[in-house]
Amino acid sequence: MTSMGDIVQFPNRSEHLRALWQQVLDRHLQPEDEMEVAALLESFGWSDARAQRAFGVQDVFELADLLRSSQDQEVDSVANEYLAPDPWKVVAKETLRQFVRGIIFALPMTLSIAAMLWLRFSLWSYQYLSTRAATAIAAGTILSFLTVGGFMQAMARQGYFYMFQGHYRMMQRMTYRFIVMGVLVSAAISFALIVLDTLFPELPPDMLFTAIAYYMVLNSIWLAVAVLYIIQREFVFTGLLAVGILLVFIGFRLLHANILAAQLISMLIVAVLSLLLLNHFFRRDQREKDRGINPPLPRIGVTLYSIAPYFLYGLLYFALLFCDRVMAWSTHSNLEPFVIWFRGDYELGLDFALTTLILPMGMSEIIVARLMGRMWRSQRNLAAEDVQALNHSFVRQYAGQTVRMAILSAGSAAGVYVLTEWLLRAYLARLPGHVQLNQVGQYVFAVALMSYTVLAVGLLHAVVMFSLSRPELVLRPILMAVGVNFALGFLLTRWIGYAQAIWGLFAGCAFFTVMVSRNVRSVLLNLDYHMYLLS
Amino acid sequence: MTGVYSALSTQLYAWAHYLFALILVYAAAPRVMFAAIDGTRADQAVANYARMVLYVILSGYLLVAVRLYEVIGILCVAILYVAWRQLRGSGRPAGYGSFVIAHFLDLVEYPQLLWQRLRHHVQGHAVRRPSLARVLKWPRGNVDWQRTVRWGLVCVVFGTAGFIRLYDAVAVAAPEMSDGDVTLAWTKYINERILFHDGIYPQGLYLYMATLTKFAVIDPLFVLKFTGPLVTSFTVALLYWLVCRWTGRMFGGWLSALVFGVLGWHLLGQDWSRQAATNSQEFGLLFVFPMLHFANRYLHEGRRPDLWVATAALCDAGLIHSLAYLLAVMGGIAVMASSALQDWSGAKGRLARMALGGTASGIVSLLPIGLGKALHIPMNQSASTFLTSASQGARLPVLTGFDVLGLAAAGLLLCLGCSSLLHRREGRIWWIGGLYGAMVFGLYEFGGYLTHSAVLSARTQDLWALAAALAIGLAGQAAFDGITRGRRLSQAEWIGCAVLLAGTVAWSRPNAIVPYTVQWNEDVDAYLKIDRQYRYADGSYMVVAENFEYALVLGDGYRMDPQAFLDTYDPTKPPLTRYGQAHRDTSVAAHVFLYVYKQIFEVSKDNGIYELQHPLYVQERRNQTRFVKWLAAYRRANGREAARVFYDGPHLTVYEISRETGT
Repeated sequence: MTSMGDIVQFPNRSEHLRALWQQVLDRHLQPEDEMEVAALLESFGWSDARAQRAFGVQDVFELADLLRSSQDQEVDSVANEYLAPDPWKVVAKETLRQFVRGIIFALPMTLSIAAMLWLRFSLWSYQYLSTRAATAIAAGTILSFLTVGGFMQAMARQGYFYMFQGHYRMMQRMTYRFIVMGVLVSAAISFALIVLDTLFPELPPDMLFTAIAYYMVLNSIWLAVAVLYIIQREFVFTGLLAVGILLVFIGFRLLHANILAAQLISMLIVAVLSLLLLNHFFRRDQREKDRGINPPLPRIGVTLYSIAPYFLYGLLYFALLFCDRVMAWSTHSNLEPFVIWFRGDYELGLDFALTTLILPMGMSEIIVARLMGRMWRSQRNLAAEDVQALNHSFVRQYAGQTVRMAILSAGSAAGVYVLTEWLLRAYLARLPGHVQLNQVGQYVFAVALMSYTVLAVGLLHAVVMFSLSRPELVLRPILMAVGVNFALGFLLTRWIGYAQAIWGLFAGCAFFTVMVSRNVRSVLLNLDYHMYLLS
Repeated sequence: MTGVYSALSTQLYAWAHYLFALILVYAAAPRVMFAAIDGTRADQAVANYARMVLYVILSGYLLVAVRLYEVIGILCVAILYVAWRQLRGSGRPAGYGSFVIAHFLDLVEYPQLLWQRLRHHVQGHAVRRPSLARVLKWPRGNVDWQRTVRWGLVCVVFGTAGFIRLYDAVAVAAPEMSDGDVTLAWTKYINERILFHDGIYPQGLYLYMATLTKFAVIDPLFVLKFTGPLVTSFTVALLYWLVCRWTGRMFGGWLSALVFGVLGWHLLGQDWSRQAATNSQEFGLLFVFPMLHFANRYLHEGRRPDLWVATAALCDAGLIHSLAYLLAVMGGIAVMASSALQDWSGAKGRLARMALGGTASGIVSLLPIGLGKALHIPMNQSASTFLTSASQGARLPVLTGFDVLGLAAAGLLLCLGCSSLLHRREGRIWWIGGLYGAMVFGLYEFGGYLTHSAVLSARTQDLWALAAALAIGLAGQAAFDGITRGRRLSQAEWIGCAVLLAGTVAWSRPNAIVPYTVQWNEDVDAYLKIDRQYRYADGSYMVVAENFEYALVLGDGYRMDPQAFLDTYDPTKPPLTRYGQAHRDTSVAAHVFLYVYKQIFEVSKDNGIYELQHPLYVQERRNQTRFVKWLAAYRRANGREAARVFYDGPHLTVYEISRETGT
């Protein structure tokens, strides 16, 4: 029964309803239906009795219904505030920041290459390693990327989620949880490798243990570095890498220790330092930026299930990048006694070509940031009737961005080709025992440049899909691309020669780019729907 | 002296890896790849084995032909096959993936679940902690003495049959018989993706062994040595299994296993030694009994999967050896005839399908020839010569007591078959045993004599031995049932059986089979020592030895003919400098091993191959004399240590020369 007395307590009923609706909208801008509104009201402390007393309705559900229906009448008259574009100075500054953040991943790589050219060794590589040791280290390195690739993606997803909300304590706990899981998984894989090699003794014990030692230490480093990158301490790892190379120099050159021992000890020190620094940065961020809440983390099963697509992407991304190497190195030859045999010329061609990704990655950051910014603005600035036109304009604009990205990537590849040729012929050729690209290396280098050019465009599309929280539209293409890379690489290496594995990489990258492009287009054509899903 | 090959550690390591690969490829993998078959666990295992061997051979031909035969290729084809089955809806049920993911997430979240499940599993199988008093009391009322004695007798027969066949594989390093080297080389050619290296010949055995080598990751020599004896031991087991399954009793199976497994040399004569060797024919014969069982079961019960298994076994035999296929086809005819006699009207459709399966198996068996012809490869010369050659002065084989026993058993089975037909009783197994025995005996006794075929004259005895053992087992069971009239035997009667077995074995005096070889065990031991030490060394290794070392070294190192070596390298110059040149030969392997014999190996003069080998022995002696002189000159020029003794045995010394040493 409705009591008139209760209503009398709130003579300005419509204002009160409006205030309550605003409170609901503050929590969720577009509540799904009355049920969600009722749930939100209950979370504010509204009960049936209170709703009855305040508005004369029977229960919270009737109040939710009342709120929705009364506000629906006002929809036409309410519009978002128009957002003007940012001033060009802000845009320019932001663009530069995004570009630098995009290319900063290349800094450690550049340092490593410089050390290789100057000192002939880096933290985990050495020009004069025996093929046997190089095979073990290469196997450990590839396996480490495959293992932690998924953890890196998962940490990035969850880390950014908490960081953008200012929950640094939760972020720390979540990332530490992944680091521990990563180490445990690495240990389990190492154990499985030992068991496997006991059952199928393909590698002699010394090679196996070298591979596992590098694998474990590199995993620790990658896990720590990934978090440093997430919390935007990109330069710290470069510094740590420099310290690591210095330690190798001391151990190998000054103390005349074995290069493998010197590198392993240095990497171990770098890993420990990374973790200590990580801890320090987290503490500082918590002191300065944390919002102060520290509830329990979600159940680990729920977390794993929700980040599984990102984890799989990390794994498959490195599988796509390294599959051709495995195919090339496992190509049977009478001269090689093991199932896998490092081919330096193939690796060198790929290493030089990898630098072509630096500029496109910077560009990618800018394109994605602009695209997302424009989406956000258009959501506020445009009426519902303009949706189709908006979608098509996004498709057109994004197509233009893709072409620009392709041109930049191709230009970057051409630049890398010219620079590398100059470096090899005009500079390195003068040094004693210089590295050189033989015929196979040249061939691999040229095709790898094409592959990475195509891949840069595909990665741009992938980042867009991730930004729109549609990882499944990247996963299927990349899984199929790994299959294409594997199948073509396997057939060509076995039928023609190991250098042909590079065509597997090219076909995989091209396939991935084409497939994910189709998916991006289909999403942009229904952008309003995807934005609704995101809200 | 225990050599490198027969050392306990070597044998344990090799056997562990071999058995692991055997179980993985031929027992575990088919459980995932093929549909389950009705029947006992043994039926399932046999059906899986037959199907997997067919799969391995067919996919092997395909992969070798397209040069993709390696672990990755094998796994890819297997995965594609499983995926194809899954798409057809014959694999795991839908939603299985979600089920696995849900369990995985459960375990990640609650690791204690794993321990709980393990504890639950263990408790489910828990046995009460035994006390001494309980252990001492336990046999009373718990032990079925008849059953124990029965299984004891079976174990004695299997143990003896296994020992007879496997002794050589453990104790003797050299490949068996004159074919051993060829079998080893052909297996290695498959691993090198070379099909029909020496002409068209069924590659079934070599594909089977090459696949085992891939997963066992041991020297193919061990796979060669172990496979043959294990296959013939499996044949004994399958004979036992078939008779037991057909009669539903153990005695017949036991008797047939005894006759073929322990007393087989009375039936096989000179070919008894083949039981310890690795040959295509013996491997192909392994599939005759599975074919008989599943064909009979299909014709009797009409379950289609049985037809597939029978056809697979028939194809196996055809893809491995033509004589094995002949025996399998004769078995198929016997099974079909017995089914027609018992139930013509009911079995017409099944008989037609069985005939279709047989025809298909014939086509499949001819596929390798078609493949070889497509690759422009000629037929294998020695095989085709043997196949078409006529025997000089063909005579009827002289029958032994066991031949007569086998013939009598077949006769008894035919009588039992007729009796069952007259009394409208089920008697198809009597018909099969009788008809099969009679047909194979006819082939053995008159095949070679009438056709003058050298193959039939020389090899049909091996076929008859199997058919005779089967007939004796079936007839023995029938006689046993007639005597006992279904009652259980008393302990005294069982003891009598055991004494009879002991007496038979003592009279027969079965010895371990040690087939002849064409080289010293030391040749193999030296090779194993070299391979272990230098396989992964930079610059590889090369042995300078006679041709029999070629198959051993193939794929891992290099071999050079002694005569060519002596004619090429100047002993008075630094190591491995060619005559007329000033610099060392860098194209040769870095580590070179010279095989210098104190005594040349010769096969017995009674052996048929002695005449063939004799010219080689003469050449070897000549080479050895030159070797000694070359070595003396080399040591004078380069110092004694430039050719260090790497291996020294009673008949052989191996010297090591390193390209980088010496003055």
